[in-house]
Amino acid sequence: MLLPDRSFDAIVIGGGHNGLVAAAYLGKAGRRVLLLEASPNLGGPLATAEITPDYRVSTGAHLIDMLPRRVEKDLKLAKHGLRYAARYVPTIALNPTNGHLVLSRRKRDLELLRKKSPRDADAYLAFTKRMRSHAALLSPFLDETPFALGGEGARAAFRKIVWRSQRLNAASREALLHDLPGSIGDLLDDTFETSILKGALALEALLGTVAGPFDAGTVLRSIYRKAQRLAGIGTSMPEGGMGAFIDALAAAAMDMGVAIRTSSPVARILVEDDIAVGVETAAGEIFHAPLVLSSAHPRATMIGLLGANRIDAGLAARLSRASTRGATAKLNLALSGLPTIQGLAPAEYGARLIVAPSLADVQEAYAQSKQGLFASNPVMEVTIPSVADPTLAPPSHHVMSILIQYVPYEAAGGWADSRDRLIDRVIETLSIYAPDLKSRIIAGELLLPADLERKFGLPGGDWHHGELRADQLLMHRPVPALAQYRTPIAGLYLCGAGSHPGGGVTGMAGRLAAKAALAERRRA
Amino acid sequence: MQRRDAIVIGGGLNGLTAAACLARAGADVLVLERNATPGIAAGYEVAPGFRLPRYSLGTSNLPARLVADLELTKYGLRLLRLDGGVSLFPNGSSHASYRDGVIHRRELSRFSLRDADNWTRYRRDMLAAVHRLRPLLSRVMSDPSRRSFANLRRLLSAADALAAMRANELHDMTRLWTLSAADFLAGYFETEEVKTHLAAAALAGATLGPYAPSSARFLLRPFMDETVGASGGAPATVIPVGGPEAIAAAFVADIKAHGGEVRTEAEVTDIVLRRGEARGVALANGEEIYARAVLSDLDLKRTFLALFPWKELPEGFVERVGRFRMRGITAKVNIALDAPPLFPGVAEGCPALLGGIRLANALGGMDRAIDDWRDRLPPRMPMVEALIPSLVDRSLAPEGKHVMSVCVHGVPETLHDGPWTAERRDDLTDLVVTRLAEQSPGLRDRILALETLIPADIEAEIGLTSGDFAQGEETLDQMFFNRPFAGMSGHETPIRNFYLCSASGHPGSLVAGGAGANAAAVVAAALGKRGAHAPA
Amino acid sequence: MSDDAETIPLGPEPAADAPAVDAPAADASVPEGLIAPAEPASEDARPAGMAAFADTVRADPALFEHAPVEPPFARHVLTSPLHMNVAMESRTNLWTHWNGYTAADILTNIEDEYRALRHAAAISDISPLVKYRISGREALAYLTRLVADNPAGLSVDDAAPVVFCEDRGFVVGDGLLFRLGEEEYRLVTEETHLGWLLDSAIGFAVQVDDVSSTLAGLSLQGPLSARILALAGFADIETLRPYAARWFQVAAMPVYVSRTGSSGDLGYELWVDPEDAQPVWAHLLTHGAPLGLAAGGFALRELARIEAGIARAGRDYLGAFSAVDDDSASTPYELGLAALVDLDHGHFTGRDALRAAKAAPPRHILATLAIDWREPLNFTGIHAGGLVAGIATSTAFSPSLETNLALAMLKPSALAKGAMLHIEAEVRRGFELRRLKVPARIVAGPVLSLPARHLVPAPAGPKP
Repeated sequence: MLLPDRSFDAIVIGGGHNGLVAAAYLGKAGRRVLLLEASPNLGGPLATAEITPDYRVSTGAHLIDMLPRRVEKDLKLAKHGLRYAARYVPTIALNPTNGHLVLSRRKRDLELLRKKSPRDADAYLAFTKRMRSHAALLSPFLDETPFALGGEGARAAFRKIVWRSQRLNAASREALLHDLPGSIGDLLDDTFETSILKGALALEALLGTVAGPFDAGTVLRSIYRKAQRLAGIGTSMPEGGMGAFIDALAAAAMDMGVAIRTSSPVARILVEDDIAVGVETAAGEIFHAPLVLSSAHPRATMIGLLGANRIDAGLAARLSRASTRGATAKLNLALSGLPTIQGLAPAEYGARLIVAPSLADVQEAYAQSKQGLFASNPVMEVTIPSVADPTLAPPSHHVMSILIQYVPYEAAGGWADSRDRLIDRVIETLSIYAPDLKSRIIAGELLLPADLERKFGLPGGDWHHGELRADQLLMHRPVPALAQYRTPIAGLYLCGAGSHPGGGVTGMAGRLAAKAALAERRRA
Repeated sequence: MQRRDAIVIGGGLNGLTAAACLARAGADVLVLERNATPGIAAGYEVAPGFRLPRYSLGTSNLPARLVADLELTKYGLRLLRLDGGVSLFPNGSSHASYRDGVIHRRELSRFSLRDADNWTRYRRDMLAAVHRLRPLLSRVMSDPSRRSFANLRRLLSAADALAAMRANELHDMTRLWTLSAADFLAGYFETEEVKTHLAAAALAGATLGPYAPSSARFLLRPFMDETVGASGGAPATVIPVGGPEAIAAAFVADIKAHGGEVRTEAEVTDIVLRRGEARGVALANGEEIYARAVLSDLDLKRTFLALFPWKELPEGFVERVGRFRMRGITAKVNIALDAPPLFPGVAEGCPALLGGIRLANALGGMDRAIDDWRDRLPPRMPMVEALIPSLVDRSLAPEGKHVMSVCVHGVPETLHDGPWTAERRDDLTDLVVTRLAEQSPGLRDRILALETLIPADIEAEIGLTSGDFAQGEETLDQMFFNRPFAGMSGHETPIRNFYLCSASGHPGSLVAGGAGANAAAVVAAALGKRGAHAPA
Repeated sequence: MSDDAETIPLGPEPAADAPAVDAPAADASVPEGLIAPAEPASEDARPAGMAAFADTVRADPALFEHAPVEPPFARHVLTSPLHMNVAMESRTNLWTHWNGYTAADILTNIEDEYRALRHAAAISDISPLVKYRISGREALAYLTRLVADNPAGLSVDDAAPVVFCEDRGFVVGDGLLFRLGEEEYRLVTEETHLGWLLDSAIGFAVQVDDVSSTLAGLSLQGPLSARILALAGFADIETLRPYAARWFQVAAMPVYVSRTGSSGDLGYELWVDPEDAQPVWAHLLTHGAPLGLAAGGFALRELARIEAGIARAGRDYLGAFSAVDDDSASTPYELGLAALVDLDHGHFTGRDALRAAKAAPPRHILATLAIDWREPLNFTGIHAGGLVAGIATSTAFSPSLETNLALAMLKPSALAKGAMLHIEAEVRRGFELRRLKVPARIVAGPVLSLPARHLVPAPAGPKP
């Protein structure tokens, strides 16, 4: 005998942003939805937490720049409390010697670059336009369920790509064919001469990856990220940190009737006759629903929660070969005051600051990470969110959020000894720009790739549930057999970042999965 | 005034292939070679009586199909198929490639039964990928960025071909072309030795390390000329009897037999241009020779930056040529030995030793060597490949003595902090000999003579820009329709009647003679010669 | 690099492959000594003579290992543990190779060997077969997902023929699955499959080891095989059901006997420690020779299995991972192995694809052909009208039926009603060549399947 509240129309596993978005869309479509989250908090690495009492900061990612306007609107996030402390956050490349560089197409900002290199100023305009046009070609694919390879529709879909490419003029097509297979490092070297510009653009393209600047596929990845951004709301900082964004999503979901239970890890997905019928939690509770959507990592879902015995061995092997590696760490600092960054105008402290003075520095950091070392000159993205959002720290105090690129998952000789040295290295490097930083640090917290794995179930410390590379994008994500969100088990869907269109704070995987699930239920 | 049908500048493998194909199509063709012999310095002796290839290792990767089409065996070419070489590891162990399937699997099972079992699948997948790739390589690359009906049709049929592939098949193909060699091999093999051996054989001379994405496709290289019907072992190493000069000699005989001419010590200094059209060439001695078509077997940079007045080239062209990435990576060490070298790490009588040895670091070491090269550091742990051709061909060295042909990969053309001084050259030689001696005790004492050629020497002697044997780095953005760059992949150039037939064009060094054969097809069609075809 | 670490698990249960663990303690036929703690015995300490063997159980399977100490290129084919015995029986000195091991092709002459097999019994060396040990808490769950049939019904000391497929329903391989204990199985196959077996193990608490080199195999087939075993001291052998297995202690040697084989007749396969293989062989020949037992070679094994209609992997069909394209791979239905597929017992790899394949028309079919011609013929193509309708994958001349037999991969058109099949063969008479066109007929089921195969108790056979 089932209790009535144990039976739902749909169950969503995992309360990360994709899980919440999927649940909200299902709820919006009138389904009775239960969302189960393993940890006590929603959002996973998207959260606002205290570094030390009264100093709060976004745990993982610190900016929203890919959230589609459409999702924001559909889920009425503004109504549910999402406020932005800053919109259209500018990006500034910090220069250790003279003159920081604002990366922007605005005339005023370009003048700074023109002073360094007139050629680069023009090249920058042409380059950004070119990348934007590449991205525009890709962006329609990010808004739809990938087509199935080898299936009925594949021929029409591939032909459509050819026809679409015919709309480009010869120059754009030639540029696309040239750029796409190459490396961002070679492309930047061919295009620009200013090293600070090349370093910053390289880091922008590479943040969150394990690939190096001269690796093939990095231009593709950069175009992909750009395409994701095209549909987004612009680089923004939610008031109250990323946790506030998750709160708004949760509020929206609940408003749409979604029941949310935290601290309820799912132990397994229940299946009868190859049809998903519900889930069982670790505590032994059983919930029934004809639809189960999992935002957990695809491998964890299919092999862990569902069980390898329910899928073909070739599929399980392919899933386990899918690469999940992360090389991005996060350092959060509580500061007793605003550090003085030399040469930075007061209005610019709220910007996204890039520390990657040259391509060589980025390459060196990458080369060292391959040997299990962290960089002698780390390359980083830094924000001081409390500048725009005073709610995060006591008056005149601040928090600093630092993404450190190329931190190896495994350190040569183990992380136990290296943790503090990495923190020292980062602070020393930042002190070149802000000499008084060290004296202002009250507390800090470092999240290594392995910590991300342990805390948020991100295998390999990969923020994206699977590297964004050609064999794991679009119709290949996470593996071809699962690319349309559905699984061999009827009623079971994948809705996490491991599915198309992948990582980044977009919620699109959740939205498209919910759409796919709803469409199929209707047909059934 | 006599006017030839075609002139080929440079008697490298692609130039000779182009000339042979054109001669067979009935064209009156003249090959002009700067040095005393075409192809490769013939008759080179590192010490009196010790002959070996001066610049290359001495193996052949001539496609069997080309050998058959040009009837090279009829003109004296003999190719020996040997077991595929041995990798020697710093810890004293070794891993060899055997052509025989049973023996190769047994060799693999010394490391792991799983690896031995997965060899069948790996080999099959490699052969299938080569089978799929081959038509693409033997075809003149069209420029997909140009808008034409023919192009559209080609693109649509490419789309159909992709659609007809199974999902996992396409996924595997994507993995092969985009993954790093290390990641790709991890899908088949578990032991470091097996992966290192395969990666080392594939990536020798490549500018990508085993951890670099898109390096996996180099793994196809050893399988390029392998036949499905073979016994299931590892691909063979092929050695031409008489060394690379024997290959050139067969080509020359073939060209002559079909009415062509090969002239040596004839350095072309300029292209004769009339109204923007190539009409012939001017030689260093002032002589001018005219032809309806001129083909260059020189690399892209040397061709356009040295043979043309820059103002005759279209705007922006020189810059594009300048951006074509060419960086030498291989140095050559030629050694004469007064006794056979011993390799205690390899079981006595190992037939794979004939196919050469490789001093391979683990994957990480190989990768670091490439990073060092990119940073233009003097090599610390370079990959060393050595062939002892006198083990197979006794005529190369006096009785009981041997020659050792050594390629050192990861040697930058220029160093980050100054020139290649004599001292640094000696350091390099010493490093190589030391590394070889680690695996072959007593080697140092057996050396009678030795000569080291760094990339700059190779550029000076045979005119390869930067000493880049591939005539342009083979990264994905410099391959297929992007080789040498978009719009020029079809061997035609902005100068009318002037064609590029070197490996700077598609398919690069992936198929020996491929660019020459493809270019010959284009030229023959332009000249209206019969039987114009590219060997598939 | 440790080559033995890969071959032999030296983990916490090193004796797992040794009979001590193979033998369930509950089995009454297992002698006390077997379960006693292992005692290391050196090679020299072993006195000569059969009776002295096997007093001790060797704890370290590496001692049994036939891992080559010589370099891989030194010997093209290896010798099986029974090589010396087989060589002693060989009067022809004709050899072939099987799975990387030397195998006698014909020992005396094929007619004599065949007569022994069909009228008395024949013994042969099947050590080159590949053996895997599958053990662990989830061994049954693993096998349920691996093989196309339901292995849950298999009780301890039972065996079953199995086929296993990849995701698309194409056969990877087939073999014989033994259940040795509650959580321990053995899979005996023709080809190696370690890569696939380990890929399939992802997500299961199971261990898969290649134990081929730690286990020798003898095949005793023929109407008198039960009687010979009984005479040789295998007590109550006649009560062993088909596909059942049991531990015996013979001349102080532990022998695992299964009533299995590929002859289509009554027969047994004996699985022993490689060290014991030679004495067991000699022991059986000693007791069997008076009844007409003879040793048989590989040619006899091939002939018998063709008569029994049994396909051999790598010969009659290609495993999914060696097939170069889809057309060369086969589903179980196309191989006539539908009986080994149970689509309803739960999920297994390839099930969904096989559901579709079952409904779809086969792309090709493996069938037995009889070509009535009274001397052996050489042929490959199977013709129908003017077209090639198939390929003979294995051929043999059956002395008892006096006809040529073939296993052939036929196109569906060959099976159409009224299709007249024939083969074309060239027969040489001196320097004359005659081209023959001989009709071929499809035989439904095996040519030869003797009732003795199924009888319990096993018939003792006619008096010699």
